[in-house]
Amino acid sequence: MSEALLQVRNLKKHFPIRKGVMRRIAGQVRAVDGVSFEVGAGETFGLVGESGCGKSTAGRSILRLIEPTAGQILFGGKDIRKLRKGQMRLMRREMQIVFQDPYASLNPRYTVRQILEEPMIIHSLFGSPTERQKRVAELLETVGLSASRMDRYPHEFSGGQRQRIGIARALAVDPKLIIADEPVSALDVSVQSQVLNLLDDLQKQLNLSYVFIAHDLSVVKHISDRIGVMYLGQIVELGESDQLYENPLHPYTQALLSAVPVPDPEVRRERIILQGDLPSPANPPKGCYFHPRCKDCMEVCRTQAPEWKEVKPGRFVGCHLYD
Amino acid sequence: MAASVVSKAGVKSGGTVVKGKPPSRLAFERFMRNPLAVAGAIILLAIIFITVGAPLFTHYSPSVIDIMNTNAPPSAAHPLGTDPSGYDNLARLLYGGRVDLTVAFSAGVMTLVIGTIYGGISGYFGGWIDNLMMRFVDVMLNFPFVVFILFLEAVFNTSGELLLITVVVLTSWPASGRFMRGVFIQLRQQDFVIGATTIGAGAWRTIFRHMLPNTVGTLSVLVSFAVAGYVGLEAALTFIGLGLPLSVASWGGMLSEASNYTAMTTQPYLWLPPAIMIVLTILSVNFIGDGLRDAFDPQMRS
Repeated sequence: MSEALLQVRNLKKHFPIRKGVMRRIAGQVRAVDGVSFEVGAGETFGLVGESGCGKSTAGRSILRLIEPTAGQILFGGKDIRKLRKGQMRLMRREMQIVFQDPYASLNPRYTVRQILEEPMIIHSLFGSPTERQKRVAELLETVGLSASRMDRYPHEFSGGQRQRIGIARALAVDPKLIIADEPVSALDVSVQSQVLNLLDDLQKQLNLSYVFIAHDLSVVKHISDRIGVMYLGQIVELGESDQLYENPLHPYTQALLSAVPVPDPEVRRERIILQGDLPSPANPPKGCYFHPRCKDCMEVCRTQAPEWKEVKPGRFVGCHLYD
Repeated sequence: MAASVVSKAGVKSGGTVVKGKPPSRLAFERFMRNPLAVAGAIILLAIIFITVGAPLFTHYSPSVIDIMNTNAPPSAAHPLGTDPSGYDNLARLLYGGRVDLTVAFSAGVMTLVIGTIYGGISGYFGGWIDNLMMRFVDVMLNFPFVVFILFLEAVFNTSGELLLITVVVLTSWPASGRFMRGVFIQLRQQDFVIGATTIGAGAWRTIFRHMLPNTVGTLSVLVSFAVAGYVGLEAALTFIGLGLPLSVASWGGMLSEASNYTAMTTQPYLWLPPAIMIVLTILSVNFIGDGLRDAFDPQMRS
């Protein structure tokens, strides 16, 4: 994939732990510790993992909402980490975010019209107020809301409708990439599928690229072309969505997938129970980060970090089992 | 962008645009349902009315003495009697309220304006800016306030409303600045504020359009408690002789005047009225503050 829209290379975000009166740095929380992936135009890249594995931090670092510690973020070939403030603000037109909590992501004192107009005003996209209003109405229709409700406030909408407003705000500037940070996990199951279908439709229509962050594997499978599985700040396995689900390579992916309920009562599947808790990213285990919880742990796993390698075309895994 | 994507929300489009109820209107409705807050508002309005409209209720001036008629008990001519200097007590009480309320409200509003701007900048930018600004607040918080008043009175060789307001503002803004910093830090983490950054809004737009309007609830509560505090502060300072000069009519001044054994035991008409006014003002402002806090709290829905 040479013409990938977004290329993330060895992205790192370490938060310092400060101690004592002098606030000296006593350690690092390695929230994101060397994440690399690519997203092509019109493609959806799913990022899954347990809570606390750094997937949201990774998403926000890509947009520089949190300044990354290291790594490259190439968007359309340009490293956005090198952009100055003003250039970055212009670049924000191209990349947007949809938040998890639709109750916190909309300014409660703005009407829907103001919420959707603001990005257009900031980027001076439409000259006249009438044109802007037309565009606001269009956006609302696009996400499946009635334009007649544009002068209402967020508190007058349900969770699913607010999430649609959030999506409309992201679309207001005609972005190429949308980072969807668990966009449906705060919604009712019945509403989840509506919002997912909407995202799907929009992608086809506008040729959008998504980085879809979630902890729910069935949701990610439904929408993603390719998936990266994150564990403790690192991607442990990456591949085409179908292949990854049919034949998970990494023991962690296998454990995660075995926990997805199968809608067929006849099918019996071996359930792999993960032992122990997610280790602290401030003090990750030696060797392979996953070895204390791994069912296939070998001697080498305790001492040496596994290499990130392509086992099949387009299929990457970081595990000693495939050395 | 064609509007052809299927409308799955099941909402029919078209028709007239419906206006929503703004959050401020909802807050007002909630406030009006709180009996204590409404009572507080009515009492405060009544106090403001009788002090601003003082000439309607008495034809005496608060600064003219009747030297032949000092220490008179209440009578038809002087409903609250006269004080040891021969001032009419009712006139002192009514006109004195003007001074008290002016000092309290202007100092309250100014403290909050300074505190909000200072705390807003400190909380929004964080890092070393925040650190530097908060260390300065630490210094100001520990400033010996009484010494400061004595110093200013000595330097400017004056005492009066303006000096009192200045002193109160100069010594009170750090506390509200620190408080507002906390409010802004909390808001900074909110998704809609982060969302403002993602659509390309700059720092000032984010602070003034997205964060500030969402501090209105906290702000109005702070103002009301500050005002209540300053009414008491004025009385206390004047009582110990550091506030307003006795030639200026004020509630604290009246209390100070009556602080002797004879007045306390035998002339309640000298000190009871101003004491009641001070208590009523503080109570009503506090009730209003409580009502505003509940009204602006998004968790409270009824």
